[in-house]
Amino acid sequence: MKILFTRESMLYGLQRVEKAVASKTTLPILTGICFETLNSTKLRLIATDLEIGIECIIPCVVENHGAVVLPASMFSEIIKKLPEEEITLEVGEKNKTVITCKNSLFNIAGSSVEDFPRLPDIKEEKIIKISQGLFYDMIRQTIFAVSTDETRQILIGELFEIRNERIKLVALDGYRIAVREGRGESSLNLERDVIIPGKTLNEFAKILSPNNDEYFTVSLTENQILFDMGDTRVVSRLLHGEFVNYNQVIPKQFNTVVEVNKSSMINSIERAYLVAREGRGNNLIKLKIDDEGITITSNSDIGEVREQVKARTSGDSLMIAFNSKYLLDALKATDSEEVKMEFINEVNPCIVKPLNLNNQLNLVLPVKIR
Amino acid sequence: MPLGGKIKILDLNTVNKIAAGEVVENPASVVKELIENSIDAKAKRIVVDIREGGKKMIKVTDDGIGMDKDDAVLAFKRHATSKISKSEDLFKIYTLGFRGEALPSIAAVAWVKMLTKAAHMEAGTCITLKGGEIEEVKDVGIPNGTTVEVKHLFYNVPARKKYLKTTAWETAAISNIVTRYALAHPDIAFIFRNNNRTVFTSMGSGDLFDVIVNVFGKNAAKNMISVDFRNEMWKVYGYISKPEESRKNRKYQCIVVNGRVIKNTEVSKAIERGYEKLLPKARYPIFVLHMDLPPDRLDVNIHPSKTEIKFDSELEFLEFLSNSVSGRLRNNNILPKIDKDVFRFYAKKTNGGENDKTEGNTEKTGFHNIELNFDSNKKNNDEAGTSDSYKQTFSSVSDGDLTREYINPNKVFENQTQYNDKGVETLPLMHPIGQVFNTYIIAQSNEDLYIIDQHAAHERIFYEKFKKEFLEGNKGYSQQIIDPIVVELNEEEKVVIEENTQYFKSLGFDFEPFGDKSYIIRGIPAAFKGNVNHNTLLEIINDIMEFGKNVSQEEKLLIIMSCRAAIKAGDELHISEMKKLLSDLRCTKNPYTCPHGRPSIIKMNRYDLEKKFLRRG
Repeated sequence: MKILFTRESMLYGLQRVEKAVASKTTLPILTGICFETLNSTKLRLIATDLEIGIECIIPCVVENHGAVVLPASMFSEIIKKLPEEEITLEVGEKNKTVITCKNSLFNIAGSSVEDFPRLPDIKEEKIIKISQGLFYDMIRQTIFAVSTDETRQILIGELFEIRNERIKLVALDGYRIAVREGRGESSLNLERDVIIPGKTLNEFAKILSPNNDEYFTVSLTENQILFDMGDTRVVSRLLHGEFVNYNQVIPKQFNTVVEVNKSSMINSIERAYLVAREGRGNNLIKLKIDDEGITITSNSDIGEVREQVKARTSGDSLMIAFNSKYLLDALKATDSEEVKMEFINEVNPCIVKPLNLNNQLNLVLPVKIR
Repeated sequence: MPLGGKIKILDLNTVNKIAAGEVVENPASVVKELIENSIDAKAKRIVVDIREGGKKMIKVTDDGIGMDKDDAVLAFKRHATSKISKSEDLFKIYTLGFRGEALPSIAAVAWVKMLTKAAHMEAGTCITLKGGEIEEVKDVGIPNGTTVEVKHLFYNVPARKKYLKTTAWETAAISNIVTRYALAHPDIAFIFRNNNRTVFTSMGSGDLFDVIVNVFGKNAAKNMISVDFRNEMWKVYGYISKPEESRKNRKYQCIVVNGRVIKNTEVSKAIERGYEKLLPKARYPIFVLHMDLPPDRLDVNIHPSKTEIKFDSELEFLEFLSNSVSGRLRNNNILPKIDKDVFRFYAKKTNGGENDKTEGNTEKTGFHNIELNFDSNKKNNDEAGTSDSYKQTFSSVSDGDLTREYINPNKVFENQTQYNDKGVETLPLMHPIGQVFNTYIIAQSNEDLYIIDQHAAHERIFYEKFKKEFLEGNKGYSQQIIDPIVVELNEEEKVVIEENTQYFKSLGFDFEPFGDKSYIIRGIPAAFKGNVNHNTLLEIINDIMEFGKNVSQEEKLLIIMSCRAAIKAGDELHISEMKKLLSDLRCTKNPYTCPHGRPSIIKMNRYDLEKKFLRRG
């Protein structure tokens, strides 16, 4: 195998697949990246930790076809340090790899690709097209609510709901729920619910371009999901199990409704948090909602704080306590300057959503104070 | 019969003197009665002034509720008491005094002047008596509270007077009384002045440990371990010394039953039995134990001085004490034993000082730290100089006088080493180096190497956090959960949960019965989120069953909860997590042991290490 490529194109490919390289593993081969020639102008990079796999195709000049696995971190360090010149990579006997570039020459021991696990071939039909920017936002606005509690496996993933062209991501960790809705393009009348590991979405979001209208496609098998962006493909296993029936938990009727400026609410909570975080450990803040607006208070050993937030309120007055972090996460994730907060009473969920949009919803459970 | 008429009814004066003999044996007993009155009057500050071992003068000043004029006069009538009104009340005594004997008995054998003012009265009352007879009652302007000044004790009972001991002895006896009451009432500030010199103060911070430092000195205090034994009937808490901190007699033992300082050799012996073989022969532990026992099962009325008491099911109680003490000691690491090898427990002093001798050479010697200064000139000067509103014989207690004393900082702490608010040495800043066996954190600080048991350390952090929340009445903050969980319980588990419902709820579990055999959990303690999931309640129930039945104790629950919430041995930690853990551990009150009493941190200093490598001899 002998190929010629530019530093730039190789770095692009490495950046994409590196996210799937296994960091802690009992299979040393997984700490490497697999390089294989596809045709005379294309090289495929593959990395996987067996949970998530990413492959990326970059342009190159192929003189001899072949494939090799090279240690990921060392190889990318080398490429980063090389000058902006054409780079040659040649694999000889026993996977001995020679990298040359201008005045540099590296001899590196590679490994055989035979031991490298292939990404599953997903031949299923592409079921839906989604814009990169949209899916990036959907992940960003839900991922924080994914559970980190390994004992409830299903909640370390997000529910991906497909209803024809309507798609939804739902994350919940037992204390809050984040829901974000969007639209894709599909000619199939498909309804499908899958659970994607939070880690996959996290890594995928890093590859997606935030403000880009370009599409990627989604394919599904029983156990895997494939995101295809053209030159880059991300494959992940799916989680199996019953996701919490979140719709049943989200209340529909409320006794207290508040409309408030998001930034002023966030600023006030963040200030209250300065006091709340001292000592108690539960970051507790109290909200008093009445005709005057919202009064946020918090106290700890170190002192106490009182914040007055202007708001349009209607319904019953209410005293309710929250873990300030949960409320902050929900507010920050809401993409609207004005937000609506809905309450029932001091033990039932609070809903946070954009004032004039229906594509997003956050539910936060309060802390009950006796 | 000619002999008729030999038997006479004693006149009242004589009766009073005889009765007084029971209550008032010596100056110390006067101080005791007056302090008890002050405590019953809800005083927050009690100042005891004596001259010449109390033989010349005893003055007790408090800021309690005081009396109005009528009550003040009545107070000197025998068996006049505000504390009980019918005989049934005798079995439910919460106040210290109740017999209504103290003031009249004292008044019968001395010159007494009482100044008292109740908050609702405009003027205070000043009563002077001689030999029990009221000489004068007048209005005076004084702050709220009561001052009782006793002079010329036993002036009319020469026999008693003759048998008073030396001034030094009597002074020591009074000091003993004052310090014991300070230990019994950490929430009351005590000041004890002998010949106008302040010899003892307690801050009234409410923290028993502070008083222990004041009374026994910080060296001894450092070797005290806190205890908390309780079951449905008995609650015993306070501090006991580690075995190496022993004394030659029992003077360093203080038993407080329902706020009353008592003597009871049986109780002392029971506690000593708990030390088993840990104490050398003829050595006695130091301890300060508060016992909250049901008052209806005690008889404190045996003797007028009320220092002896009788209680129900004495044998069981004594056994409970011994077992609890021995359990606590077995759990607590006993330093010198494990000290032998290279590793030394950190709880010893850091700065190279091997001078932590067990025998008290430098420490304050508790009940005897009295300055005996009887400079008669000085005394006379004082007496002459300080008379404003109260005239000649009685010196004044002005407000300014009091405040100066209270602000007077506690001089016990020198600043060689850092102490936290518990008087326990704080850990230095430690930099984690790494983790071994995924169980221990290796850390360095200046010249010392530390090995920290990550589980024990984390447990300690959680334990103190939960305890604090619990104590601060911040109870029952319950983070509601999205999908309430239904748990099925068997009979035994159900009993546990029913018996402990209040505790679980006060910790923040929000649950209710759900059908016949199930409970539905709607919320978990807000403090633990992330660390505890729904199964934790079940695990705790199981733990409680293993512990045995008598665990209606928040303490145990706290320990179990912190154990459950803490990272486990075998959990891999990132360096930043180790850093956080170490800095959190530094902030705990007692970083050296986990709540079960196992050590959480051990230390090896550079010298030890260099010795191992034969760099040093």
